[in-house]
Amino acid sequence: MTTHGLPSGWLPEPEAMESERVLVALSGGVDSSVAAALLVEAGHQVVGVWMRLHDAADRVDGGRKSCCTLDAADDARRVADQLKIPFHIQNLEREFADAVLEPFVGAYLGGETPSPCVGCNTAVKFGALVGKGSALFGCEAVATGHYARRAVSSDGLSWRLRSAVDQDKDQTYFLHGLRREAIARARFPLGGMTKPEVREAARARGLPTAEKPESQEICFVPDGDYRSLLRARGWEPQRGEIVDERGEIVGTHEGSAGFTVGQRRGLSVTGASPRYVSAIDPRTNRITIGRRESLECRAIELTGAATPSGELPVGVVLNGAARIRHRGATAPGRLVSKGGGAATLELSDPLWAPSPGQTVVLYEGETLAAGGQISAHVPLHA
Amino acid sequence: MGFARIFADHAAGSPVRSEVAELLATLYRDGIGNPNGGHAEARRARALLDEARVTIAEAFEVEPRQVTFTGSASEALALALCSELLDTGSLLTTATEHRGARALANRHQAAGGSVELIPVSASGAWRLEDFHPRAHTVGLLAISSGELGTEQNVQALRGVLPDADFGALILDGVQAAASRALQFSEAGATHLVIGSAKLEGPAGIAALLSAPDRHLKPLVPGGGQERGRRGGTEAVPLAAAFAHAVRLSVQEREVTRRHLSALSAAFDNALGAPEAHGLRPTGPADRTNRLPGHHSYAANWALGDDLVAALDHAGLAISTGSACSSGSREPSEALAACGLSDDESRGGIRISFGRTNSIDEAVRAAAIVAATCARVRDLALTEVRPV
Repeated sequence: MTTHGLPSGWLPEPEAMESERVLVALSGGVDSSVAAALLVEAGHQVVGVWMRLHDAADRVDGGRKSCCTLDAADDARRVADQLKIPFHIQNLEREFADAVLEPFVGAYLGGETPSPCVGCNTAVKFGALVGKGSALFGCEAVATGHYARRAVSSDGLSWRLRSAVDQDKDQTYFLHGLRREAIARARFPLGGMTKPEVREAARARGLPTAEKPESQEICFVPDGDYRSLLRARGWEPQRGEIVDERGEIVGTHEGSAGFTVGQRRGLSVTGASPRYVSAIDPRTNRITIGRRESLECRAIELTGAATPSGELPVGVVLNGAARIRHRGATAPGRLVSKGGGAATLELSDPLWAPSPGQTVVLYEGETLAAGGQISAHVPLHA
Repeated sequence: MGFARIFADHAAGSPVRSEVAELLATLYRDGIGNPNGGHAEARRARALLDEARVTIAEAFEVEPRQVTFTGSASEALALALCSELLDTGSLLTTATEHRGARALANRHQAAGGSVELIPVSASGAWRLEDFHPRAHTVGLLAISSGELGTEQNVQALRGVLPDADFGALILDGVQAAASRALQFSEAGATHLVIGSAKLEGPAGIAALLSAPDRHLKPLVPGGGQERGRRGGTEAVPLAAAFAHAVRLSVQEREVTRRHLSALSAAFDNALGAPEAHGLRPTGPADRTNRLPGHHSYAANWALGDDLVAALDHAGLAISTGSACSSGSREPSEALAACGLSDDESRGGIRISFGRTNSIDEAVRAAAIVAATCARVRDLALTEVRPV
């Protein structure tokens, strides 16, 4: 039995009964602006912080797309001024480099497709920033403009993420790395709202960010060209072979780190039906391609598999609905722990093109029960 | 909030003092405007501008025609430097200068000019023993460091500069003028820069005092204003307010200096050993070689910006002393030049009291620093970074 789409034993997060001191991470976008406004209106003591994460912050962005430029910091400051809350710029460059930038580069060079937002949420926003908020401003909680909710166990001791009311905007996938201690201190004021409602709330309050466009790209790759970032970090693209599933050479490419499993664009090969990248081997600089159906998977090997309570003991089995990309389809599956963060996700229905390095999450009802990283996959027709 | 906030960032600029604010309001209300014109209104404005120039000239013992008003001290430094230094010339400066002066030096170097740094001691004082500056060099140097509080020995510098074939000496007297008598001739300068905001005057005005034989090349050409040295309509009310602030500052200088010394003693006494709070004192330990009311420290367990934010939250307004608005994590050049580690050079803070602070505020400021450092340091050392 479930309550409000919640599994047995889980309850919706309680309303904050008392005024809290909350740090709100203002990106300079509409979502975090409204999150801050709602917290102020609810009577909380709010401190606004804009995080300087990398040197893209030195760029002034006429396009107003990225959350990480000086223009974005100015927008965040204007919102804080309007809400009459203190505002500080916090430098988290070192934490961001350790948890996001370096793993991002390392993943691509290792033939994987990284999930930088997961590392940023886990180690920066709900890691280092929580510590800073507590140490510098005495804040008990950190709020963001993420579309997510929280659920608490009926004994009040444990926490899980719960998907947002707006299913199109739900961001629990990117938040899966949060442990229960972090979830307990997280606040997601927008979890019960839809994006149009958030825009309307911003307009109704006259917030200067009300009409700002969505940021789509990775914030530290403002032009969307991550290959140029890799080159700046020492990657020297080398021509390599493209082979089909039988190992026959069918073309060449200009560097395997420029590709992602499931990618079709940029493959200079001819064939009767569309071909997709099915495997990347950085050691041999070789890319394997296959037909669409050959990328369907019923079993995915995970690393770093964990629940909000921590790593799974050997032999533990969790059932739920699995998702392997943000806003992607879900499929029923069972997660079988092999210990040490290793696990196998067995799927009843296949999921398409799991990309090594990307995130896998497993929902139980509306709650996020576990997550991990794709390490390798067993193709359906193998 | 039980207590009122404490402002202890006077080295960055003091609030305009009430007498000066009243004068400004009166001048604006009276319609004082452009001093250039053939009518009574312009002549009235011109008379006020002349009077302001005379006041500044008398305070620093120069002739009025040696005073050029500019929009900021940074502009005055740039005007003097660009007038004296050829692109291929040699510039003499230190790593502890104000950011405006550092930026000028960096630009000169980037354009292919040569830059020579006077080495500094651990307290930021010029180390002039065994130092032999090049001939035909232009010095760009602060008499007192805003970041470290160090009061430099300008006489000793004059002693090592060659008399005959030295280029020019541009002295930044912005911090020094706030706390001690400063005579142009005694300083031995070719140019001396005096700001308004550190003297409780309005921001947006400063003065460049130049030796009579120097020719200034305007950065902004204009309609002959300031004897053709700086284009643009003169800001007469700001100049008059600046002069009034200088007049009051000179009148009260000794009283202010004693008061600032008392504030420093009260703060030091209430804080106890800085090391007990994880703070390493920076700048001169001997307060007689230091700007009165100026205290600076470095922490190797927090960013200076973070400490500033935490202290702001606790009701105490201070700064890092090397302000950067975009939250950059670059270490302070001045602290690094004094031999501090990278972490310490990122963890600098400056507390600077002013005439309007009370002894009670100095004592409470120390308590806020102690409590905030204890909390931030505790959490910094036990920081949990969930992965």
